Amino acid sequence: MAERRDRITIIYDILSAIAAKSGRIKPTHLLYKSNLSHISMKKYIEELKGKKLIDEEHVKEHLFYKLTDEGIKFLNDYKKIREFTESFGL
Amino acid sequence: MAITLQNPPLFYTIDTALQLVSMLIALLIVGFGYKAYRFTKDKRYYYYSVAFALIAAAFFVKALSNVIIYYIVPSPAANFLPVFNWGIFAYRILMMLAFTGIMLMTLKITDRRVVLLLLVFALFSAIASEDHNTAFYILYIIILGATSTQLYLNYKLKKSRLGLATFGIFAMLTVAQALFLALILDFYFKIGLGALLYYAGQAFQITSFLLLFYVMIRISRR
Repeated sequence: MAERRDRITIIYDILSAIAAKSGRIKPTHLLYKSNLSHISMKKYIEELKGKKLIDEEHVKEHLFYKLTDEGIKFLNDYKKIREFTESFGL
Repeated sequence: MAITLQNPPLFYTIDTALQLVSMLIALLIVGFGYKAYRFTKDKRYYYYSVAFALIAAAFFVKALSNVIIYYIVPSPAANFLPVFNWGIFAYRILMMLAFTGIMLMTLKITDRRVVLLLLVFALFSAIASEDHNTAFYILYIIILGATSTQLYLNYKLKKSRLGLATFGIFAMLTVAQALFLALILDFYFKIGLGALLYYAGQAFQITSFLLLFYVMIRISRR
């Protein structure tokens, strides 16, 4: 059985999904990639927007979520912590 | 009498320098662990940070006692032992608590009763260890050995180079303590390898901390 993801891992997965799409993703793609329910994803999106980790962008009437500089910094910091955790077996 | 009385006399200055270098490397982990705790609010990082703060404090106390003996105490023969023994006593307690904590975290032992019991055992053995620190080194080797074994299993599971390096850090620390224990046996049986064992032990110990520094640099550059 797959391990239950904690809050910070879900945030990392959302931001990673955006980063993997060159820093900009459509909500439907994000919903698919982040493996969350629609309601949960909406909550996380609001939180991430509030923390300025992501931003909204409208291109030809399509909504995109865009990774901010803060979001990129979060991803990098989290990667380091994950590497530390794995290396030290924590 | 303490075991370091047999140390090569000229080694005190180098010894102190090595302890200060190790202390600075330990402080690097303290900083990283605390930053990780602030970031994730996960207490594992906080406790890891505290364990390395204890290691840094242990090296500081030992270095300080060396400095007092080597540079400040005017008549070593008369005033050497109390300073040295207190330094070693504090070092033993701090190191034992730190590495027991690291072992508990690495083995993922979370039951509070077991954690408390092991910490009490470790503390008691560190306090009660007289007679050249023999009991301290034996328990220290067991704790480091258990941590190394778990880190090897972690490396086998994750297959990461840094995981292998981390296993190497703890394995070398275990070897270093085994050499210090051998130094005690050498003293008992009058084999005459004291200086060699001491140099080798210090070499393993500092190499393990330098490897720790390398691992942290690699992680920070990701």
